[in-house]
Amino acid sequence: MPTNPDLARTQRWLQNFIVEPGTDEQALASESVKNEYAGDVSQMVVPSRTLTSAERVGVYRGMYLLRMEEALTTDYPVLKSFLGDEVFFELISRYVERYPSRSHSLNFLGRSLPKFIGESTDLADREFLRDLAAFELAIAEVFDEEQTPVLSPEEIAKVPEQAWETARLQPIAALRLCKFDYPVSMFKEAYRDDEGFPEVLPGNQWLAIHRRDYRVYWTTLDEPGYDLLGLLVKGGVLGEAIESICLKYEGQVGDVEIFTWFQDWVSQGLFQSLETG
Amino acid sequence: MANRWHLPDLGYGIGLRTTHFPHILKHHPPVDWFEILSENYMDTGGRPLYVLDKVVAEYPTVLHGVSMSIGSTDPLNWNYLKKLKALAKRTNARWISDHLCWTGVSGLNVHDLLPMPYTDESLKHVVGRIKTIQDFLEQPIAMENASTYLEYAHSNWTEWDFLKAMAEEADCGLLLDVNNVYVSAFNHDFDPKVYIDAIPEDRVVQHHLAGHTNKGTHIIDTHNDHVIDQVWELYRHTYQRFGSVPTLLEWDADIPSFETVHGEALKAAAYRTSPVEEEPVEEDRGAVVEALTHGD
Repeated sequence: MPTNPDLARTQRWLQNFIVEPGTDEQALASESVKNEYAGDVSQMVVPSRTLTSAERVGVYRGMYLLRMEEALTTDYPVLKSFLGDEVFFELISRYVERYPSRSHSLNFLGRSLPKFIGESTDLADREFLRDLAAFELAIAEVFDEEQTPVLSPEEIAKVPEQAWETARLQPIAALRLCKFDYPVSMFKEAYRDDEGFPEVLPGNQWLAIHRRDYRVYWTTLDEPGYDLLGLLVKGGVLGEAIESICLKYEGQVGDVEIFTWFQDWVSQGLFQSLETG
Repeated sequence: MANRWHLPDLGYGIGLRTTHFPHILKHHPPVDWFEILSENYMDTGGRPLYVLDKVVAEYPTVLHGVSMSIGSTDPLNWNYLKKLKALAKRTNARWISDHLCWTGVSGLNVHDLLPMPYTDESLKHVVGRIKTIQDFLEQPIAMENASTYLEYAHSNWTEWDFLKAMAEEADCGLLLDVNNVYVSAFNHDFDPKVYIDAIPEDRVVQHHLAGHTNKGTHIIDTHNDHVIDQVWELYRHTYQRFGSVPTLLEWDADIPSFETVHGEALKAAAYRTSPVEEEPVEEDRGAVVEALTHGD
């Protein structure tokens, strides 16, 4: 093996040493590290007066997972609080091994965490944790979404009555509609209010997570409202969407419910424009 | 001494941090300038960008990045560079800086400022990439000396000679981080003043100052505390060499109130004087290690 390795080899060696799971000794002995340089680490990195060569590289290894944890804590504070520091750290250590950062920004590091949790068969309350993580991810995405105009009640009032049947509504960019198998917002609210977490019990929850005046809110919907809003944000024609929901939920949904939902959604600023005809 | 590009002397600045957003928006504090962390504003359309636009309208700003990865053997990230150029235009950034380092290869990002081997190959590599980036950005960039925690056995340049050669061959600026010089000097056992004295005067466009964490066997550049006296004295020595250079106080972790951070930045003015007759004793790494070993 060369004692004067080229730059590419040097970088692959150091990176593999840093990200390899396990102890420093295990990382040094790993195939990924040995493939780049199999000689003594002191031939790559000189020791200092106070640290061995391996310890010097170990400084970077130690900081790597701490930095990943810090980034993921920003996006998933409730998940971390629920799991506890130790379990969360173990989870994210396995997560970044599977999904290391491939972006210039740490903002994107946690995008696959809900999926990873869903695939982690050894996690207790896996489905709940997946839903909780998905809720926190939606909040993070809404926070960073582009700012788009908001359709005001006054603009709505100007639309002629006959135009409503064929109108289409465009949602704001900072909106996510999510269905969960667990009442995840209760856990977020408990965390926010510094209260103990409720018991984990299944229960459907439909949420609209949205941003207004640069603050993120979540609104609990019932299933018919969620379905209708879902049709609208996908570009459905208003008249057809309403008819479809009234048919599906016959006896439960009528004009009063439709009007109330629509009034709420406009006041919450969920739409940016309305296209008629 | 003025830098060769006649970039302005902005005075004493601090980093723009989300925890200080409410204070800045409410009180419009008399800060000379703000340093913007480029990556924090490239991929968001929400509140951070809203506040950034407000700050830019009122204060001079510069961009400082951590993901340019100038030394990586991966291809340049053009998606990143386009976003950087757009952000520079949006913020009217007086200059753009990043670090002499690499952050990942094989498509990964370790999100750390990983050290370069100081070799002829490395020099040629970074000079070429800096020139390409400067052409694209249509302005010179300033490269910062990062704190480092290891040295490669095959390095055949000192860090300071490498930095000097890089700046001259690439015709780029330098962001001379005084705390990082101190940290690296402690970790690699060299005289920080030798480093400072080797840097070409007309290429330094900015200084950084920061706190750090001394582990005894090494120091980590944590940016989570006040600047220690020894770094202030090194800053005084730096001022003697370079004169008035825009100086930024970095405080990125355990961030205290705005007033505390700004107050720390303004302390720099007191060190823009002649050296005192007696200088503080340098941190003795051996004594600290011995004390730790014996459980003091």
